[in-house]
Amino acid sequence: MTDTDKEMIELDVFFEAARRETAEVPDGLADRIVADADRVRQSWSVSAQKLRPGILRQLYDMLGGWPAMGGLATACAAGVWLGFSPPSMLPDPAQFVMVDGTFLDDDSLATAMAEEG
Amino acid sequence: MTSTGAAVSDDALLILFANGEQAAARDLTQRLAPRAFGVALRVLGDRAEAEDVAQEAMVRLWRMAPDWQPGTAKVSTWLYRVTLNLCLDIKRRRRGGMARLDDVPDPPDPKESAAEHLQHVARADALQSALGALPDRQREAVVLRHLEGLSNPEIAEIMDISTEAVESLTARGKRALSRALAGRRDELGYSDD
Repeated sequence: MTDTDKEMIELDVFFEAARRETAEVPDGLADRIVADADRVRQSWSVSAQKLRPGILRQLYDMLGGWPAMGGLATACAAGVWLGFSPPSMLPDPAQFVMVDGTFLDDDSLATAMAEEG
Repeated sequence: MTSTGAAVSDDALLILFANGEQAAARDLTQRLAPRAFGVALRVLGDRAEAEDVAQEAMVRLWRMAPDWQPGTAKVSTWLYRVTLNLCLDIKRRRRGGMARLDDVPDPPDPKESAAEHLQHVARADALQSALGALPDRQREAVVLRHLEGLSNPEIAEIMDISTEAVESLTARGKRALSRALAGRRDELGYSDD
């Protein structure tokens, strides 16, 4: 056995003694740690309650939820359809902005509106 | 509410805690607090500071619980790393000598005579003094390897160094300890063992 081996074996005696001396958690420490855990857990539920909904969610709620959003979507779709394909009893909206097959420029349109006004 | 038992992994207990299971916190405390406290006590050599470090390390564990990714690392490894970092912060603040473990309670062992018990206490105290003289990294590696019984790869992960570096640190640390304790052979009676 070399001197180094002998030194290491002797150290094991100290490590063994040290392992015997420290293992117990002091009185009250475990209770404090568990109490901390409870506080942390409660802080999560408080945070969740305080969390405000996002802007889109607030708008959605303000409009009245999904029934109102359904009606709004239907009205939008109907408006787009009427724009593209108006009923025959209504005038063609293109006629308001076209004269002799050409679009009025901004100045002409303003002049026409001023004359009518 | 009953305890979740020893068969459940630390990972699973942490997830249970994150889901609101307070019994899981008690089980994790029972498993992990002694390790955090033991390492902190050995590294710092001060019982009150070791208690504070163990409590703070566990608080950080509770706060981290909702973000824990199971299977990425061991919970105990994470806790050892946090504990050592907290110890390092304290040592940076005080940069003084290490206290002796005079106030560490001695667990009674009915099979041990009073003389044997005193001898163990003296050896543990001598080792703690010698540990206190080691550089921080050597002390951490020796404590994790020889007092906590961790493997070199696990220590490497905790200390964020290579396995070879761990082997080097523990070897140098043990040589220094051996030199420091050699002069106390007769006083501590280990030539008789």
